[in-house]
Amino acid sequence: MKFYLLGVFIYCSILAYSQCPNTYTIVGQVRDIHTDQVIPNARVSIQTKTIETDSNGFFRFEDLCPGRIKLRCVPHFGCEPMDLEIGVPYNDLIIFKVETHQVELDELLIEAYRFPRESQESMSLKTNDITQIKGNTLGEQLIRFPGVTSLSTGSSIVKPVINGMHSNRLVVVNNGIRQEGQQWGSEHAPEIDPNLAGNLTVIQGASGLQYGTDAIGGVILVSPDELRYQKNTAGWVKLNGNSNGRGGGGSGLIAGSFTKSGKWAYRVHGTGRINGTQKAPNYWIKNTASNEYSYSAALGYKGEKFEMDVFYTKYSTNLGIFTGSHIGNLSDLNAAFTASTPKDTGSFTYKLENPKQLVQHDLSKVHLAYNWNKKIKTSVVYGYQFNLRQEYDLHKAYNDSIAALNLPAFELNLWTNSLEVKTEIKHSNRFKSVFGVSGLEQSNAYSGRFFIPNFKKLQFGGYYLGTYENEKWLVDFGVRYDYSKLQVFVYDDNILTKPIKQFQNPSASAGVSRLLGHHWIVRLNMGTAWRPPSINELYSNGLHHGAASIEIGDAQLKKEIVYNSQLGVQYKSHVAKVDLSVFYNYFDGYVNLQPSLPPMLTIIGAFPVFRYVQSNVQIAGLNGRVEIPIGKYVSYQFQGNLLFGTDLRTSQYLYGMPSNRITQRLRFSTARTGTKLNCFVEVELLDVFKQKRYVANSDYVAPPKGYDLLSAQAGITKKMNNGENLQVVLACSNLTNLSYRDYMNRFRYFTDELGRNWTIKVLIPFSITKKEQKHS
Amino acid sequence: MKKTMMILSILSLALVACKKEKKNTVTNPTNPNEEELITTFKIIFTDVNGVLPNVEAQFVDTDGPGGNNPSVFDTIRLVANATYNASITLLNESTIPTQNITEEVEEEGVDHLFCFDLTSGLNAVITRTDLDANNLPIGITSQWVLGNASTGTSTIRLRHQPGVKTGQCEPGETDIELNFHTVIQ
Repeated sequence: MKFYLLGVFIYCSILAYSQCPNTYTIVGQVRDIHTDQVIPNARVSIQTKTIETDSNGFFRFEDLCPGRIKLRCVPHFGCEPMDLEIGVPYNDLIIFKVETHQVELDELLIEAYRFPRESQESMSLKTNDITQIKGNTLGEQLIRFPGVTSLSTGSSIVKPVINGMHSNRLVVVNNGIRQEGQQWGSEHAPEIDPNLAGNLTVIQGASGLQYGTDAIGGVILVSPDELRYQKNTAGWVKLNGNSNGRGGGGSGLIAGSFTKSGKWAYRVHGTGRINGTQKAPNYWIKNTASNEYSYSAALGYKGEKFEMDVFYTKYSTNLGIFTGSHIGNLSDLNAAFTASTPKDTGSFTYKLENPKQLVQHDLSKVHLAYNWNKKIKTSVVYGYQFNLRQEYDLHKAYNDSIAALNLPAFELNLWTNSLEVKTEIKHSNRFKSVFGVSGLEQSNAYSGRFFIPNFKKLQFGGYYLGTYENEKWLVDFGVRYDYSKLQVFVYDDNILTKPIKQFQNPSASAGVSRLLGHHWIVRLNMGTAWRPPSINELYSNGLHHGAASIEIGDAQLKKEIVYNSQLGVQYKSHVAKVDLSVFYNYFDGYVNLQPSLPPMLTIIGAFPVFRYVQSNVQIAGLNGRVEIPIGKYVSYQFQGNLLFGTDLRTSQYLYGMPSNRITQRLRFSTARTGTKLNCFVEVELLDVFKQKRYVANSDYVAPPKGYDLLSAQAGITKKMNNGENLQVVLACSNLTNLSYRDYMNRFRYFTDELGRNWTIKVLIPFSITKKEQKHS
Repeated sequence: MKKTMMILSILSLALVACKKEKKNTVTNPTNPNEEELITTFKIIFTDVNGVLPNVEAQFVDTDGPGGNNPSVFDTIRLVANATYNASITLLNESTIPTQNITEEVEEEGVDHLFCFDLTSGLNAVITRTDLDANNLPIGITSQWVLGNASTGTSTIRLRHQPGVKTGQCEPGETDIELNFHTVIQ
């Protein structure tokens, strides 16, 4: 049998290479039938061979004999195979125009809603497209995704919220390393400069499993573009200025390869930003100045079999905290609620006063990878992170000598070492597997006022992920097991105790997508994930300054487990693009901070008491987005999020869920005409409804009323020779200068949101092409 | 070129490895007794005529806000129609030795003000008798002129008013707020 096969192979080879005296090469390109965009990684096959198109959609077959030949193009999962018969020799470029089911937000942003290669929702956007991106923080930039909202503390601390979940229930992955910051506080934003990221991606489902526990709401991937191996030097400069706060910032990135072989590549980036006191429509919001800087450097080597890269980044920010939010006690708090204008409003300055925060994050990474052969690749990633957080209280020390030192009220230091080893196996073009193990070691030390105790944490996990795809179906599935050990160093009645908490649990996820006809894709995803209770939920005990509450942890908390399911449907045609999904999450042991009576008496007066309690909870929701093109230039977009959270034990509404919201956008753009110079104008109306699903008297004040926020932007883009766009955008948020408060902003008790803000942004891409060196 | 690259990458690896911080502070934290916690509020009333016995009222919460409940919260019991000089003492009894915070409040008198509010019906008139560097009252010492027998609540507040002190209780934030049950008999 073997000999027979070998015989056939030799015979075929002879046929291919020797039967015809002249062989020919054919070249072609795969493009989208509607948008004419090139499609990379599409599979093109002839009878004897299957290859993938390159990044510009090109494919090439060599050594072909003359005659009729049948080409088959399979662009991606999510499109019908397409056949084309040509005669060889064929001298023109072969163009495949295919239906790809790539659901684009609009023509400028092809990647924005790429039809997922995974079966679950996977959304990504390019941070360099400033015609689409808003804001300077990660939290603001992700809002374009269906189901993503934000949680703020004032105007400078913004955290992403996915389907109502945030902080401890989201994992942020910074360039392949799980970000380990002080994520548990609502006033702690991710310590990441989104400018470094070429892509922001939100994933939910099986592929999120490889990033460990806590990915209950999803995983946010912040990934820089790949190093420019064998490419010329290129980069960009971004500048922006805003009227509210009289702020400005700049960011730049340069990347390229060193040697002639192009096997060594580098990337350097830096960002700086300063902002002064910001203004609500009717008053200055005192002490809201901020400044930040960030830089990074990466160096990589990519050989035929071996790859490696090292990466280092530092992020540092100084944030002023609105003075009126640090209140003495319940009486002060009540006085702040009833005041229509904060009692102390101040004036414009770039200077930060107390209360303020200083946050720094260092991340280093070493990545090694080895390609055993074309099918098997093993990679090792080591990460080291150091997170420093200093919080300064409004109140300086009574003692002058202590006050003169101007020490933070407390300081937290968090060190993390992590190691991950994984092997990817391509069993065939359709079936892929990933096996991996990961470990993490973490220590936390504090000084100053007690907030959370010192701890040491060890975590180990192992996982398997599989993906299978063909023309109609895509299936992905994964399992994972994690073990977590937490040792806490805490004083109990002046005696140091060292309790140990251990948690372990499996996670699993499976999803399936099915293509229906040319226009529809249906997907279903189900899974379970978990997280160990975090340090603040277990051990916080004391007054939370700025929140005017006493928060009490529970050292007996169990792990939190979620069972989730999501059903989605996508439709794309010339008439409309629709994306709709419903989800249902059931939590076993959802940890929530709940009010507890009676108030506690202290020397500073009475304070409401909040305790971390566990309950069984359900969160269900609907995320939808519809885009309708009106003629060649105009498109209308409608996006809505609905969310319902219920505590099943008490049959009451779940505290702290974002209220329902609708976003509508009307966009005029010349981008579809295919010219190099384009312009656009966009008007956006955001309707946020009042949160009516709350338990009466569970909050200091009832949720603020709903609001309609109007914003607009306009810009010009010019396609440069290197294919990147030069962009100039003028934007205005809160166009009507509306005074409003948002339920998801902790400072809603004290101050209005920002008033009108004009922003101007410029992005200048550049590339340096070396003069051709002649070797003769 | 290749060698330089190799050296560079090894260097950066070494950098990564060297950045370890001292961790002995993790396993052996200092006991979180705050330097400037006010655990004890004491007010002592002395009869201006030196006839009546002294009256002392205390609030004591040695572990600060949160944790255990206050261990002492006295009622102020004063004699009707008498006049007392009152003096406030603030202590931090969570540390050894005990710290006296009163002196520090006095030094920062220009930023601090004690406010005394009585529920209606409580027959007393309170006047602050000390002055800060700007000739504004502080209230560490005060005079209480009492009327007929009555019962109610005296709210004693320490207001922190850095740079905004005018002698009024607003604006500022509250450092101390205690509602003493008060009996004039």
